[in-house]
Amino acid sequence: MALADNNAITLLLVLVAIALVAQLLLESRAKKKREPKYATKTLLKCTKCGYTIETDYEPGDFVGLIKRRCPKCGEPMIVYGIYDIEIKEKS
Amino acid sequence: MPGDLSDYIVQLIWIILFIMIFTGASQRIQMKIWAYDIRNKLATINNYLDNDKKRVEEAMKKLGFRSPSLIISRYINYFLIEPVSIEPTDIIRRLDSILTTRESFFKDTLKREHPALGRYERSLIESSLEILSALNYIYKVVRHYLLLGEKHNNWILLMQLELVMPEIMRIVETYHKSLDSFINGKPIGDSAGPLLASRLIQLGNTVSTRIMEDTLIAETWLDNRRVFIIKAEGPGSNVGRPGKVLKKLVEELHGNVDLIITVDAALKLEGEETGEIAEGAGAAIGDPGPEKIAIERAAAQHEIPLTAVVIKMGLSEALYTMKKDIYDAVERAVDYVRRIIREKTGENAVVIVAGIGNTIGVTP
Ligand SMILES: [Zn+2]
Repeated sequence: MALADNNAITLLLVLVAIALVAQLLLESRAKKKREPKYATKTLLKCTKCGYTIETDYEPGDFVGLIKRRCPKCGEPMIVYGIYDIEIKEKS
Repeated sequence: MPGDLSDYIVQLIWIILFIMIFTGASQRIQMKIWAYDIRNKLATINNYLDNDKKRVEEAMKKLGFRSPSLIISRYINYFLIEPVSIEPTDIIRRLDSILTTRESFFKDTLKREHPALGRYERSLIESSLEILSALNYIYKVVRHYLLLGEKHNNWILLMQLELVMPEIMRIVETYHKSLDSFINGKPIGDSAGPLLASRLIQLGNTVSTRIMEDTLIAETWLDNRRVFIIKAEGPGSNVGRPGKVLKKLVEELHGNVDLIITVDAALKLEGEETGEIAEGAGAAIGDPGPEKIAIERAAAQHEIPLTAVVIKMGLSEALYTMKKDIYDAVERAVDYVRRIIREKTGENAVVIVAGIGNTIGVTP
């Protein structure tokens, strides 16, 4: 009788221990969410007609740089903004 | 009987456990686990430091430096001693002189090593070296406390270190990742203020621009007000001297200024959203003191209302390449600042707007 009780308690303790460890593991797994990836974009704006294009960032770009010509009216374009956008990964 | 034997073993385990608790042996084991974890994280920091050093070295070699590793080791060990603070008389002036010494050390060494290098490239290398220096410092301090804790079996020290390690690692990751923006010269989140200033210059009718202490002053007409816009001179990595320049400007105008607005990136609280815009009173600037006090003194002396507009972001977002959220927030903040100017001043009023922050990748 005493032995049976002991076994039951041991079993219970083992189960609780396993549950705790599992919970801890799951928690740390959940925290390691994949970090979002970013790509830097350069926004070009026409100095005359205001037409904008978003292109990939190239080293040496900075806001205020005169770069390329407007595809619409042929006037020079200015780098209007540089920013990171999130890339949505296909899974 | 087997039942009795297992009973004895269980008893024995309990007794050992009790003895361990009372003699502190359990803490020893705990301490070993903590030390092991800290050591792992320290190895990660060291890894980052080595990688980043190599990256900066390569970038410097590409620009034509002859002995980059020597320069790097001299830079990352450069230290700063804070001025005596129990005697507050002219502490700002003393602090300012120390900061200026540090800044000119950083600038002059690079200039001497490679006189032909352009200012833009030099500023990028300078900032990259500062990141290395910060990483190196964190590495050394963590190592110091780990070794000290182990040497004296100080488990409380190790416990404290273990508890702050996640926060330290977050800062380390931030510095490590931000190196990319600084080496390439991309605008960062902290560039929000200068970007806003540059937008205002584009929007207004610029009368004149001049440069004073690496800082640009543009006089423009915007919404029928005479607006002076202050920002660091771009596109290099530069924060300028907005406070000192603002003070000089106010003196030049004999205090005839109706409104001063400072715009800066501000650390958001946990739970707040990135890109939130808030308005308040005071000078929005996060320098160690000298620039901020110059703005406050100028405003107080001539009784000019001092308004602050901040764009909120996390520490990592302030140092990484500017995210689209922050970029959009800057566009909104431009309208916000214009509205404040229209609401608080009449036509032909004189207004100073200072875009505070690192102007990396943003010009004029
Ligand atoms: Zn066009």
